[in-house]
Amino acid sequence: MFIEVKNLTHVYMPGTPFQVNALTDVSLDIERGEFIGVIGETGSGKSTLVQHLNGLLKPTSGEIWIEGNNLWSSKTDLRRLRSRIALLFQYPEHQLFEETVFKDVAFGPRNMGVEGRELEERVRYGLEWVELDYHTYSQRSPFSLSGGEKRRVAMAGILSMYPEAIILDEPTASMDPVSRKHFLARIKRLHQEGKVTVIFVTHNMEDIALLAERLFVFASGRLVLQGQPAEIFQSKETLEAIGLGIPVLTDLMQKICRKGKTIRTDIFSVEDACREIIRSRREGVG
Amino acid sequence: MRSVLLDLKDVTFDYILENKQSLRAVNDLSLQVEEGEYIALIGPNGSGKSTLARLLNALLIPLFGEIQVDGFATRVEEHRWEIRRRVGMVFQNPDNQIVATTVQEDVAFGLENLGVETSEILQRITESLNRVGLSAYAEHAPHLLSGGQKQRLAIAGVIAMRPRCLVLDEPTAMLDPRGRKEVLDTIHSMNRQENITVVHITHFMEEALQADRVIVMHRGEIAAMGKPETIFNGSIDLHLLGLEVPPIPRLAEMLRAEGLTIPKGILDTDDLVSYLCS
Repeated sequence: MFIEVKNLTHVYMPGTPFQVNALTDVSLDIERGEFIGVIGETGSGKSTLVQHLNGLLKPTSGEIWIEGNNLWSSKTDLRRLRSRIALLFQYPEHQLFEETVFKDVAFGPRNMGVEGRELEERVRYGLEWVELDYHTYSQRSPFSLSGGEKRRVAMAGILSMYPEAIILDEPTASMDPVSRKHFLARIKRLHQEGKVTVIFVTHNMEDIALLAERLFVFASGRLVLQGQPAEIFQSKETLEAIGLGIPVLTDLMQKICRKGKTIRTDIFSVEDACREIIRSRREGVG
Repeated sequence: MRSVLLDLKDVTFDYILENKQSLRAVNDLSLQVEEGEYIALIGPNGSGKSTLARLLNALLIPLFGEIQVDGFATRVEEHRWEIRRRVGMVFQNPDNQIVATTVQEDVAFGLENLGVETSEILQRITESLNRVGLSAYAEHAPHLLSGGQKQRLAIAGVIAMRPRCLVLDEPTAMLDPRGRKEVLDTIHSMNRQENITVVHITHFMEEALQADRVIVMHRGEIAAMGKPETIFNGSIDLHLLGLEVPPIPRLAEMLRAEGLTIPKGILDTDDLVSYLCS
């Protein structure tokens, strides 16, 4: 198993009037190469969970195991771990701090001891992946870039570490629809061709239904549901009760089904919906 | 006929970049918004939506052209208080808009700055929190509210000033589904019940479906404008403009192409269900 979370509990500011139980007794497994979606309303513990996966937070109780090793045992090299399981924060533009884009993207690999030609190669790889031209951008100040460009530089800085897993915490908020689609397609490619494990935290049910192989659903610090999107999004009432919802097309298919039609409801794309409606009508007639 | 509240004539705005070059954000744009209208403003990143929003309450002043709010020109400095009293802004990140340590003090902030009397302030706090559904939280610390609650608090702070128009710049971008719904319901009820004019900038195409009029911006200009059923019926190549048609009208269009009889302009799930099941 790649990542194992065992009975993880996290309490912020324990013993003070501000004590918050962010996670309570969470256990889950993630296999190498999986595409995982993490959903739940604001404050449900999603961000706390993902910060545990690369050792940014220490459990109040419970354990995190990475490839059979306890993350908080003395043997773990945390810095190395954070380059293997890399986290793109919710406001990636706040992650930038260097004088030039090159230095910013090089920061991670440089910390891993990469230098010279290989360092440059990695910076090129990262920038190329986010479609920022090396010559145009590498010597610019990250602070002179637009919000969207800053996000891409932050993403390049993650990819230049050649991570085995990436954790993305709400990466597409405030991207326009075409930029968002484009970004998601690249993540998908990274997962499929680059064999990178992806852990994707989001509020967008439509996107995650199409992308994730497995979903973890959080409510009030607890893992309340897990399974494939097709199973999870059958539970409309449960999801709505915890502040979430289901993709609009799934909702449509369920409503048609409730009117007595024989039709599949595990539908997340317009193309599949169209095909299924046509099929159901033909069979209904025939 | 309803009266014109926002009147933009040939408005151009440039940003000056660090290398002294200028970047045109809004180009020769004219637009009239009527009192009580609900406008959805959509367009790709960098198309000038946020600049336009900031021009509307005189946070930015046009390079060329003129903007009048209820007859007050934004260019005239003495008019700016009158304009900001009429046009309230709500931004994307709720955490950046909260200034006080309790919910009610946060609502009071703008009113105190306007010099409103204490008894009147108290009354307006009660009224505004009521209207956004936060009455029970008056004494709470704002940072402990959920994202949706924080955005509704931001709206309460703005409507306490009794504006005629709300300009919201991606107010739901950072919210979870419940928070989004809360905020959208609040904005729509302000519009319907209080006749407050709404200019709502969004990247969620579904949110634009509920508007009276959709304005599509591209490179600082209005690329298309019309009722949602016209904008999203497939006659405009939204993809070319960095946008997309939301799933329901897209599916309706696809089914029509397959030969099903579905009227044009279907935007809503329940409407499509009833056509498919009739």
